[in-house]
Amino acid sequence: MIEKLSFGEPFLETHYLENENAFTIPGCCLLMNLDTEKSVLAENEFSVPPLSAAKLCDAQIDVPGKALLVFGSDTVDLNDLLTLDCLRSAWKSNWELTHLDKHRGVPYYKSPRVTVGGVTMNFCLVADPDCPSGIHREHGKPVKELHMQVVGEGAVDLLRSEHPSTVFASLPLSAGTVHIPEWNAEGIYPWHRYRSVTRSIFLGIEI
Amino acid sequence: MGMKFSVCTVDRPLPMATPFPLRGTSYEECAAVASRLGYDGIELQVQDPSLYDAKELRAMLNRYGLGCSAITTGLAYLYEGMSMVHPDEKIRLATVERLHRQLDLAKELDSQILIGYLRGRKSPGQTDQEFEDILTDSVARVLAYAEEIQTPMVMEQINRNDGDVFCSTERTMSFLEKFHSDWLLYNGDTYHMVTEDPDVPAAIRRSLSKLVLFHVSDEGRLLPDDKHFNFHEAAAVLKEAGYSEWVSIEARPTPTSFECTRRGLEYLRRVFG
Repeated sequence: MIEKLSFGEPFLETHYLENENAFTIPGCCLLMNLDTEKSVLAENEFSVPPLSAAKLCDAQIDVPGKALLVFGSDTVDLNDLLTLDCLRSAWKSNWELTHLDKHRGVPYYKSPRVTVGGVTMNFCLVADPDCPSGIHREHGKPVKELHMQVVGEGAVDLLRSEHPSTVFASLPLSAGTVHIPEWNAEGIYPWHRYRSVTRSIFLGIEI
Repeated sequence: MGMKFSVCTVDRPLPMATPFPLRGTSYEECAAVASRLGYDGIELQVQDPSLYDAKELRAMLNRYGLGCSAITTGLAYLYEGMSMVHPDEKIRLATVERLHRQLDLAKELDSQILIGYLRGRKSPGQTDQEFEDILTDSVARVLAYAEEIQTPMVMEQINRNDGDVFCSTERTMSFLEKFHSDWLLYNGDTYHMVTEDPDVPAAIRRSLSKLVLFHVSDEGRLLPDDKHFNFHEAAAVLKEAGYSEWVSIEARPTPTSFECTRRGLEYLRRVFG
């Protein structure tokens, strides 16, 4: 099954695949394997493990579980101010979405959210370089959270406490990568945050 | 958390046609009445903030347990001819400077400034784009200071009879959104919506991301009478969205200032509460 999703439009084209074999990717895209158990096979040679990502070009893939394809990340230039303005106009700032004081003036802009195959996703533009999100370890509801870098460079920092000086690990992200899961066997997270290195877009994934 | 209810107040004599229900000779007098009736806050009409002691105002509002829903700025347009789009650059810059001082006052009151009439009208022969360009420049200057002192600046839609270009919710929101600032926000007003927004629930939904102040005012700037405008429908949209910011009564003080203020709160509690 292949479903075209609209949540990244008009900047990024996305397709959700489930139980789909011998699908040939037209051109280049980022593939996010959303399945927690099954690998995606590319060209019968290379396997993209569960909750991993890769950049693929004109490849034939077998998706026994579920995966997302993101097209167009190469064409989004965040140093082009017109593009940046268009993104900020189309996507809402964190404050506009929550009206929480702590979010006011934070340059994080979110696309609409989509839920498909039990996975909730949205894109997030971080309009400034070197701009961390809030430090947190809870997500309001029990979810497995991942960030796939789509444009630019970023990182997920792990911290000992809520204080920004207590970073003990950084998981670097470049376009087409996703960090390793942070949660332990009990589903508990360390304190963590996303941080842009350059202006960036990431895909937030909640499973 | 529910919506916060406020009433527009003024501390000087103004014509009855101006839509400020609660009138007194000082804002303390207005606050005493609003507090006794049970409002959460009051909206102040301030022509020149230098005539007020911000700390005293803050202390007074605290004594009455009231917030300030907005510092409204239009009197400087009506009585001094100030305007954000005035053809004379000196007057435009003086207006920007006045708004900076309004922001200082609003910050002290933990509030926000509201810009309606003060944005000004189109000059004869001026195109919509020329009007927008000049207003954009003035808004950017005020907004830079609002962001610096972290105090919100709110702009109102104004219908075609009283304003130009930014009359509908959609047009006003599009204008505000181009600044990409969480400090530049929106005031919806039922009086203007009834003329400009054919689908009021859709217009309110469109504005929710920036909506922090909602003026309740019927046709003719009177209290709602449920004959002209569907306030119940508007309230339902706000409730459904979990809106928890200010809702203000803006109406002519009829039959009397006190009665209008009392009945206004009664209506807000019944329909928006």
